[in-house]
Amino acid sequence: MGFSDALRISSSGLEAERVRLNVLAGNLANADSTRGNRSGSYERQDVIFAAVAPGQSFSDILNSPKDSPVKEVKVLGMVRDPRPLTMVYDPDSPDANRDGYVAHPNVSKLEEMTNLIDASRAYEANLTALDTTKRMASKDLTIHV
Amino acid sequence: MDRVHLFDRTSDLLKVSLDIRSKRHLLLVSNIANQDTPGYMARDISFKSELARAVAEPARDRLDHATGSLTINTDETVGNDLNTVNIELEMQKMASNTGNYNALASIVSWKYRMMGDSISGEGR
Repeated sequence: MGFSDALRISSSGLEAERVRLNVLAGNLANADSTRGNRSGSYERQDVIFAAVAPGQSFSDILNSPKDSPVKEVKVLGMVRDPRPLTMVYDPDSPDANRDGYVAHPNVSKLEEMTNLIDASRAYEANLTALDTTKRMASKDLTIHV
Repeated sequence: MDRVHLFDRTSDLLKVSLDIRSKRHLLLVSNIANQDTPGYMARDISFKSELARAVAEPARDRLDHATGSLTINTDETVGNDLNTVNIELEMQKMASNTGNYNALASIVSWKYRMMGDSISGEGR
Protein backbone atom coordinates (compact mmCIF):
# COMPACT_ATOMS: atom_id res chain seq x y z
CA MET A 1 0.00 0.00 0.00
CA GLY A 2 1.76 3.06 -1.19
CA PHE A 3 1.31 5.91 -3.59
CA SER A 4 0.70 3.54 -6.47
CA ASP A 5 -2.46 2.43 -4.66
CA ALA A 6 -3.51 6.03 -4.12
CA LEU A 7 -2.98 6.70 -7.83
CA ARG A 8 -4.92 3.59 -8.76
CA ILE A 9 -7.83 4.55 -6.48
CA SER A 10 -7.99 8.07 -7.90
CA SER A 11 -7.89 6.77 -11.46
CA SER A 12 -10.67 4.29 -10.62
CA GLY A 13 -12.69 7.30 -9.46
CA LEU A 14 -11.89 9.14 -12.70
CA GLU A 15 -12.90 6.12 -14.78
CA ALA A 16 -16.16 5.60 -12.87
CA GLU A 17 -17.15 9.24 -13.20
CA ARG A 18 -16.26 9.22 -16.90
CA VAL A 19 -18.50 6.19 -17.47
CA ARG A 20 -21.24 8.00 -15.55
CA LEU A 21 -20.73 11.13 -17.69
CA ASN A 22 -21.05 9.02 -20.85
CA VAL A 23 -24.26 7.38 -19.65
CA LEU A 24 -25.75 10.72 -18.60
CA ALA A 25 -24.82 12.26 -21.95
CA GLY A 26 -26.56 9.32 -23.63
CA ASN A 27 -29.68 9.96 -21.55
CA LEU A 28 -29.68 13.64 -22.46
CA ALA A 29 -29.14 12.93 -26.15
CA ASN A 30 -31.98 10.41 -26.16
CA ALA A 31 -34.39 12.48 -24.09
CA ASP A 32 -36.82 12.53 -27.03
CA SER A 33 -36.06 9.17 -28.71
CA THR A 34 -39.36 7.37 -29.06
CA ARG A 35 -37.58 4.32 -30.45
CA GLY A 36 -34.51 2.73 -28.98
CA ASN A 37 -35.13 -0.74 -27.66
CA ARG A 38 -37.33 -3.69 -28.51
CA SER A 39 -40.20 -2.57 -26.31
CA GLY A 40 -40.24 0.88 -27.91
CA SER A 41 -39.10 4.14 -26.37
CA TYR A 42 -35.61 4.73 -24.99
CA GLU A 43 -35.41 4.13 -21.26
CA ARG A 44 -33.15 6.09 -18.92
CA GLN A 45 -29.93 4.31 -17.94
CA ASP A 46 -28.00 4.68 -14.72
CA VAL A 47 -24.70 3.27 -13.46
CA ILE A 48 -24.08 1.24 -10.31
CA PHE A 49 -20.94 2.09 -8.34
CA ALA A 50 -19.43 -0.30 -5.83
CA ALA A 51 -16.57 0.21 -3.37
CA VAL A 52 -14.03 -2.63 -3.76
CA ALA A 53 -10.56 -3.25 -2.35
CA PRO A 54 -7.94 -1.92 -4.81
CA GLY A 55 -6.32 -4.22 -7.33
CA GLN A 56 -8.70 -7.12 -6.90
CA SER A 57 -11.17 -8.71 -9.22
CA PHE A 58 -14.80 -8.97 -8.22
CA SER A 59 -14.53 -12.71 -7.53
CA ASP A 60 -11.52 -12.10 -5.25
CA ILE A 61 -13.62 -9.79 -3.14
CA LEU A 62 -16.53 -12.20 -3.05
CA ASN A 63 -14.27 -15.03 -1.91
CA SER A 64 -12.17 -13.19 0.67
CA PRO A 65 -13.98 -11.96 3.75
CA LYS A 66 -10.98 -9.85 4.89
CA ASP A 67 -11.98 -6.24 4.64
CA SER A 68 -9.58 -3.42 3.85
CA PRO A 69 -10.74 0.08 4.78
CA VAL A 70 -9.19 1.47 1.58
CA LYS A 71 -11.52 1.11 -1.39
CA GLU A 72 -11.44 1.95 -5.05
CA VAL A 73 -14.63 2.46 -7.01
CA LYS A 74 -15.82 0.10 -9.70
CA VAL A 75 -18.68 0.36 -12.17
CA LEU A 76 -20.63 -2.84 -11.62
CA GLY A 77 -22.98 -2.27 -14.49
CA MET A 78 -25.83 -0.29 -15.90
CA VAL A 79 -29.46 -0.46 -14.92
CA ARG A 80 -32.61 0.77 -16.56
CA ASP A 81 -34.49 3.36 -14.56
CA PRO A 82 -37.70 1.66 -13.32
CA ARG A 83 -39.75 4.84 -13.52
CA PRO A 84 -42.65 4.63 -15.99
CA LEU A 85 -42.40 6.19 -19.44
CA THR A 86 -44.21 9.47 -20.04
CA MET A 87 -47.29 9.04 -22.20
CA VAL A 88 -47.89 12.00 -24.50
CA TYR A 89 -51.08 12.39 -26.58
CA ASP A 90 -49.94 12.73 -30.19
CA PRO A 91 -52.23 10.74 -32.50
CA ASP A 92 -50.36 11.83 -35.67
CA SER A 93 -47.07 10.34 -34.60
CA PRO A 94 -46.07 7.07 -36.32
CA ASP A 95 -45.26 5.69 -32.86
CA ALA A 96 -48.73 6.39 -31.44
CA ASN A 97 -50.65 3.48 -29.96
CA ARG A 98 -54.34 2.72 -30.62
CA ASP A 99 -55.46 5.42 -28.16
CA GLY A 100 -53.20 8.02 -29.78
CA TYR A 101 -50.56 8.10 -27.04
CA VAL A 102 -46.79 8.05 -27.67
CA ALA A 103 -44.42 6.66 -25.03
CA HIS A 104 -41.64 9.18 -24.41
CA PRO A 105 -38.45 8.35 -22.48
CA ASN A 106 -38.53 8.67 -18.69
CA VAL A 107 -35.67 11.19 -18.90
CA SER A 108 -35.88 14.53 -17.13
CA LYS A 109 -33.49 16.95 -18.81
CA LEU A 110 -33.22 19.04 -15.67
CA GLU A 111 -32.32 15.99 -13.61
CA GLU A 112 -29.73 14.84 -16.17
CA MET A 113 -28.09 18.28 -16.24
CA THR A 114 -27.85 18.28 -12.42
CA ASN A 115 -26.34 14.78 -12.46
CA LEU A 116 -23.96 15.85 -15.23
CA ILE A 117 -22.64 18.77 -13.14
CA ASP A 118 -22.32 16.46 -10.12
CA ALA A 119 -20.36 13.88 -12.11
CA SER A 120 -18.08 16.51 -13.61
CA ARG A 121 -17.31 17.99 -10.17
CA ALA A 122 -16.61 14.50 -8.81
CA TYR A 123 -14.23 13.94 -11.74
CA GLU A 124 -12.41 17.16 -10.87
CA ALA A 125 -12.12 16.15 -7.21
CA ASN A 126 -10.48 12.87 -8.24
CA LEU A 127 -8.17 14.72 -10.58
CA THR A 128 -7.10 17.01 -7.71
CA ALA A 129 -6.50 13.97 -5.50
CA LEU A 130 -4.38 12.37 -8.24
CA ASP A 131 -2.32 15.53 -8.62
CA THR A 132 -1.82 15.78 -4.84
CA THR A 133 -0.57 12.18 -4.69
CA LYS A 134 1.81 12.89 -7.56
CA ARG A 135 3.23 15.90 -5.73
CA MET A 136 3.64 13.91 -2.50
CA ALA A 137 5.50 11.18 -4.38
CA SER A 138 7.85 13.65 -6.06
CA LYS A 139 8.42 15.35 -2.69
CA ASP A 140 9.79 12.00 -1.51
CA LEU A 141 12.44 12.16 -4.23
CA THR A 142 13.78 15.42 -2.79
CA ILE A 143 14.99 13.56 0.31
CA HIS A 144 18.74 13.29 -0.20
CA VAL A 145 21.98 14.25 1.47
CA MET B 1 29.05 9.69 27.76
CA ASP B 2 25.91 8.72 25.88
CA ARG B 3 26.15 6.62 22.79
CA VAL B 4 25.88 8.56 19.62
CA HIS B 5 23.19 7.22 17.29
CA LEU B 6 23.48 7.91 13.62
CA PHE B 7 19.79 7.23 13.11
CA ASP B 8 18.31 8.62 16.29
CA ARG B 9 14.82 8.81 17.74
CA THR B 10 13.93 11.83 15.61
CA SER B 11 14.61 9.87 12.42
CA ASP B 12 12.41 7.05 13.68
CA LEU B 13 9.60 9.45 14.58
CA LEU B 14 9.84 11.18 11.21
CA LYS B 15 9.67 7.83 9.43
CA VAL B 16 6.63 6.73 11.46
CA SER B 17 4.96 10.10 10.90
CA LEU B 18 5.47 9.87 7.13
CA ASP B 19 4.03 6.34 7.22
CA ILE B 20 0.92 7.48 9.05
CA ARG B 21 0.48 10.50 6.78
CA SER B 22 0.66 8.36 3.64
CA LYS B 23 -1.72 5.80 5.15
CA ARG B 24 -4.19 8.59 5.94
CA HIS B 25 -3.73 9.91 2.39
CA LEU B 26 -4.86 6.53 1.01
CA LEU B 27 -8.02 6.63 3.12
CA LEU B 28 -8.82 10.21 2.06
CA VAL B 29 -8.22 9.41 -1.63
CA SER B 30 -10.49 6.37 -1.23
CA ASN B 31 -13.20 8.60 0.29
CA ILE B 32 -12.93 11.02 -2.63
CA ALA B 33 -13.11 8.21 -5.22
CA ASN B 34 -16.20 6.79 -3.52
CA GLN B 35 -18.10 10.03 -3.11
CA ASP B 36 -20.93 8.70 -5.31
CA THR B 37 -20.91 5.05 -4.20
CA PRO B 38 -24.19 4.20 -2.47
CA GLY B 39 -23.73 2.97 1.08
CA TYR B 40 -20.04 3.96 1.27
CA MET B 41 -19.07 5.44 4.62
CA ALA B 42 -16.19 7.89 4.95
CA ARG B 43 -13.17 6.59 6.85
CA ASP B 44 -10.35 8.36 8.61
CA ILE B 45 -7.57 7.75 11.13
CA SER B 46 -6.31 10.05 13.85
CA PHE B 47 -2.66 11.00 13.30
CA LYS B 48 -2.20 11.72 17.00
CA SER B 49 -3.38 8.36 18.32
CA GLU B 50 -1.65 6.44 15.51
CA LEU B 51 1.66 8.14 16.39
CA ALA B 52 1.14 7.49 20.11
CA ARG B 53 0.47 3.82 19.36
CA ALA B 54 3.50 3.52 17.05
CA VAL B 55 5.71 4.97 19.80
CA ALA B 56 4.21 2.63 22.41
CA GLU B 57 4.51 -0.51 20.23
CA PRO B 58 7.40 0.10 17.82
CA ALA B 59 7.48 -3.53 16.69
CA ARG B 60 4.00 -3.45 15.18
CA ASP B 61 3.59 -3.45 11.45
CA ARG B 62 2.80 0.16 10.75
CA LEU B 63 1.38 -0.38 7.30
CA ASP B 64 -1.33 -2.63 8.69
CA HIS B 65 -4.62 -1.04 7.75
CA ALA B 66 -6.78 -2.70 10.37
CA THR B 67 -5.81 -0.03 12.86
CA GLY B 68 -7.28 0.97 16.17
CA SER B 69 -8.04 4.60 15.50
CA LEU B 70 -9.96 3.97 12.27
CA THR B 71 -13.19 5.94 12.41
CA ILE B 72 -16.12 5.44 10.08
CA ASN B 73 -18.49 8.32 9.62
CA THR B 74 -21.97 6.91 10.08
CA ASP B 75 -24.08 9.80 11.31
CA GLU B 76 -23.77 12.43 8.62
CA THR B 77 -26.08 11.11 5.94
CA VAL B 78 -25.84 13.38 2.91
CA GLY B 79 -28.60 12.48 0.48
CA ASN B 80 -30.61 9.27 0.71
CA ASP B 81 -28.09 6.82 -0.75
CA LEU B 82 -26.50 6.26 2.70
CA ASN B 83 -23.19 7.72 1.48
CA THR B 84 -21.50 9.71 4.24
CA VAL B 85 -18.69 11.37 2.26
CA ASN B 86 -18.58 15.13 2.74
CA ILE B 87 -16.46 16.09 -0.26
CA GLU B 88 -15.55 19.58 0.99
CA LEU B 89 -14.33 18.13 4.29
CA GLU B 90 -12.36 15.39 2.51
CA MET B 91 -10.63 17.87 0.18
CA GLN B 92 -9.72 20.06 3.17
CA LYS B 93 -8.38 17.04 5.08
CA MET B 94 -6.35 15.96 2.05
CA ALA B 95 -4.85 19.44 1.63
CA SER B 96 -3.82 19.66 5.28
CA ASN B 97 -2.52 16.07 5.37
CA THR B 98 -0.43 16.68 2.24
CA GLY B 99 0.95 19.93 3.66
CA ASN B 100 2.05 18.08 6.77
CA TYR B 101 3.52 15.25 4.68
CA ASN B 102 5.58 17.67 2.60
CA ALA B 103 6.78 19.46 5.74
CA LEU B 104 7.90 16.14 7.25
CA ALA B 105 9.68 15.17 4.03
CA SER B 106 11.53 18.51 4.08
CA ILE B 107 12.59 17.97 7.68
CA VAL B 108 13.94 14.50 6.82
CA SER B 109 15.85 16.08 3.95
CA TRP B 110 17.36 18.78 6.20
CA LYS B 111 18.33 16.19 8.77
CA TYR B 112 20.23 14.13 6.23
CA ARG B 113 21.87 17.22 4.81
CA MET B 114 23.07 18.17 8.31
CA MET B 115 24.46 14.66 8.70
CA GLY B 116 26.20 14.93 5.36
CA ASP B 117 27.66 18.30 6.29
CA SER B 118 29.10 16.95 9.52
CA ILE B 119 30.62 13.98 7.70
CA SER B 120 32.23 16.07 4.97
CA GLY B 121 33.15 18.81 7.46
CA GLU B 122 32.03 21.61 5.24
CA GLY B 123 29.43 24.20 6.20
CA ARG B 124 27.05 25.60 3.66
